[in-house]
Amino acid sequence: MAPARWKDVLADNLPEGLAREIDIFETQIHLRKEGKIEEKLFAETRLRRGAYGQRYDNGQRHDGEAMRDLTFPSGSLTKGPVTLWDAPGMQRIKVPFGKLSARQLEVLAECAEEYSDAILHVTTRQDIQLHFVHIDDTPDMMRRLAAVGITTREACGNSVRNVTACPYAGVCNDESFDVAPYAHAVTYFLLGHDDTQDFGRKFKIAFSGCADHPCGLTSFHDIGCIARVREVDGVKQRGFELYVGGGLGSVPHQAKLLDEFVSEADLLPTMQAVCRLFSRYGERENRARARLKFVIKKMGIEEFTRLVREERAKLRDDPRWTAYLGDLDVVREVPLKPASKLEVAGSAAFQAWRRSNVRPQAQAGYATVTVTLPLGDMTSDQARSLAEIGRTYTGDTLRLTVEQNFAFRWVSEADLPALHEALVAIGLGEPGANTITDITACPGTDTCKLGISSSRGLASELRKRLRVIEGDLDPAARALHIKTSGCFNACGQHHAADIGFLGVSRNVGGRRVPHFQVVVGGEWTRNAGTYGLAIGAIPSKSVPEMVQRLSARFVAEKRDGETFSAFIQRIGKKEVRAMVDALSPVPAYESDRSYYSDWGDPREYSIGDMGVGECAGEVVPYVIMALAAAEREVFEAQVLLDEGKAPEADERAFRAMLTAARALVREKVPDVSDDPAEVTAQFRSTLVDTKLFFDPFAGAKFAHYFFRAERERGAAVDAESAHQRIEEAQLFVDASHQCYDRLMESAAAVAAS
Amino acid sequence: MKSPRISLKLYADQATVPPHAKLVEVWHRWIKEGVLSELLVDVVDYGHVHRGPAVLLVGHESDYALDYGDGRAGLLYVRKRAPDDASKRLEDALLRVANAAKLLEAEPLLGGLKLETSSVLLRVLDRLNAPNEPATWEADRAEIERVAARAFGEGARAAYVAGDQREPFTVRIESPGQRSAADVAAALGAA
Repeated sequence: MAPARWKDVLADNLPEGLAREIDIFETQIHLRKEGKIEEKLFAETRLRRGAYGQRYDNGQRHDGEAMRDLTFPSGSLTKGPVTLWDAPGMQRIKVPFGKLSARQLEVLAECAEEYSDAILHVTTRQDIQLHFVHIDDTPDMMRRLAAVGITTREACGNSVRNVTACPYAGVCNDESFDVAPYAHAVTYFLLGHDDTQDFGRKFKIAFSGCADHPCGLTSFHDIGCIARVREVDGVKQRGFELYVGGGLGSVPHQAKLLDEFVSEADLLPTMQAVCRLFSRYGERENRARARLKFVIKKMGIEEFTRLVREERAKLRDDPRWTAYLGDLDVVREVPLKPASKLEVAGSAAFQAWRRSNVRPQAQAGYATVTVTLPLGDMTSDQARSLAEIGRTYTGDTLRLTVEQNFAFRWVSEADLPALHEALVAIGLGEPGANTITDITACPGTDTCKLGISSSRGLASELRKRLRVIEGDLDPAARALHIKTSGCFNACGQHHAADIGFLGVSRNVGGRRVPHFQVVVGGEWTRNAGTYGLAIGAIPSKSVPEMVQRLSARFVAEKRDGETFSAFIQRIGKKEVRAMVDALSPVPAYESDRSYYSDWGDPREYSIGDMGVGECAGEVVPYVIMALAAAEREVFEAQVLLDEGKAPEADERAFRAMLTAARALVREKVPDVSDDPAEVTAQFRSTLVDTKLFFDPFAGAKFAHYFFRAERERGAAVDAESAHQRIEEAQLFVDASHQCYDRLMESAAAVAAS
Repeated sequence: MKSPRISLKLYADQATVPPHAKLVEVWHRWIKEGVLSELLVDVVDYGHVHRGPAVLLVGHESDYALDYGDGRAGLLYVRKRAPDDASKRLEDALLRVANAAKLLEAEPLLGGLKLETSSVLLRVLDRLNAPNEPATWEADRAEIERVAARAFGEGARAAYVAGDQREPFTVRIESPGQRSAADVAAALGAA
């Protein structure tokens, strides 16, 4: 007897539209296998269904000594450019504003167990990701999820991604009102909407109930909505302060105010108008400049605002714009237990957990419990247990948070000790939510194709060490936020941390060494109101010491009430730079090889078959010296910016790029002058046109930073544009290091042949 | 067995469980040297999760893990893509886990890891074709008992572990444990 199929079993349980979409996707899988769909088209198709690529899916893996082929049985069949069919992939699953029912969590656990590695990973955008998934298994997984109301549609690709919101919406003491019904309405209004199908890049939306707290992180979204209530003629009206064009990534932008008050009735059409403009004006060719933030930067927020209003006026009426207002209870939660008061103090462990992981709700007698998930991970068994704990104490009031944690809402306070015990039993009763031990990390080199350094390995190591000393930490140090990203794309949101780390690599004596840029000055509060800047790079293995020194100095020298960001501003980045410099030396390979591997990965970090070159060791090549000088100039630009000298900072950042570019050009044209026009022209012809200065994933993106900086010299500069130029200069210098490594590798290969 | 998604767990002598970092190192080397006769892709360190796959060796056909899933350390094997011949699936999975166990026990870096065969946890990760209910046990019992006897000797006994229907179908195979992992591999490999 043939095995049963989910398609048949669930036929009557799936919403018709969703069932049809998944059937179509399954057909496309078959057509691709038969070679009847072009690989690029199939790639975008699967991305729009949340089926993403993963590290090594090009069929190559470096084992520390050499690059080796992974010979998958499907041979050269691909699911996208340079992406082999059989290679494990990642499935991203949208969970709008992080809201889950117990049954949904159970089905997610089942899918993780049957199609993945029994680990559910919570992302910084309230999604769930499953890794090591085979593309052939995705249609059934999607059907099982759809049967409990979860869609993976538009979880990746050039689409409106998961709509996020404060996980405390509706129960928070500080909010203007519950934003969850609005996030819900926007999710389903824009999902599959005609006006969101032709984007050149992804599009992210976030909601926050207040301006001051970080739970919604509206400042780095394409559209950020902060709840507002205004009174007109004695009548209270709900609406949103609407921000547009925020984003992190390689060039972070703070979102700009589009409108101080968009009424609830006008929310959906205003978003629709923004989406239409993004479709119309968004970049198509250069993906590195395709996000909404670049559209707004180019035309200015005033012009963009005018166009939004003009577009809004042209839209044809759609009853869905306001229909949802009659059903704002759609996501209303009904507490399972009556309100109560906690009468017992409980054990010391309970009290510690209560201090960090429990917050009282606006509704007396109830609390919200944050469950700290190490690195955002939970096992299928834990997920099932969390669902059961939810059924016992709160009902379907579960949320995922943007700090990669899990939350139970509507816990009757007298139940807190029992709930804590239940969490302890499954290994999730740790204190420390939103503290220095609760570290955010993107997947990094564990599974991400773009990862440069091991952000999760670093986070795991930091967490392990900090937990040992957690009890002895000064409260000011305990309250710090650490976030790590494996590369410049900033999925770990390192810009918005007290202490952030961004993965880079450096060449030391002819070998690559994993490093992290130290990012300070960022602000997690005020919806991530300020972004930090990279001060300098240190070896991965020196990062724990850097954290120890920074936090100790903060505790010792901070003034009353001073935040970490204000402390950094006061002592100045030169001081932090000196701390970075003290930890930047890398021991020689022969004396300590541990620096040449990343956290949690014993393979030698050096990639390619480059051996120890003749220039290694005692003689430091000119280009290495010049790149170090370029890094110093980037830092000087930061100092100038801090001193309020934006034009000078902008020029210094350009000079840093010029220094790095000239150093590389000299490898090809030894007598190049230092005239910017000549360096730029030679850089273009010898390195960019030849694709030598070319990132495997970002293409010529970083080169264009340099070209644009050269073109824009002398133009008006303000603090924000100088800030961006500094970010770009840092990335350009990092890319120059990579380019030099590739030049060395290619020279070594020629010499060996 | 109808489903290809079979998992098997051999428990470790708890005193012999190596530090996770050592196993990470060994499994990276296995990938490099092609130690197993199947495609291995990567090693993942999940040491931060409680009672989970602390160290995972990801392959195309199978995954291997140092697993603490039910509170005891052991070698967990998960068959993801199995032979088309349903009658060979369990035997093939047992052979692979026994072979991996034999190789791990012989790894000097692991300092004498001992994996026991006296109790093996079999789970079928397919709620559709192998729901956790007595009917599944009745359907698969004969095959499980046949393979268990072949692998562990005539004294082997298999018993259905009744549980929540949300959990995977689970069977425990117990035997006097006189056969080592190498013996089990030899018994099955002789097929």
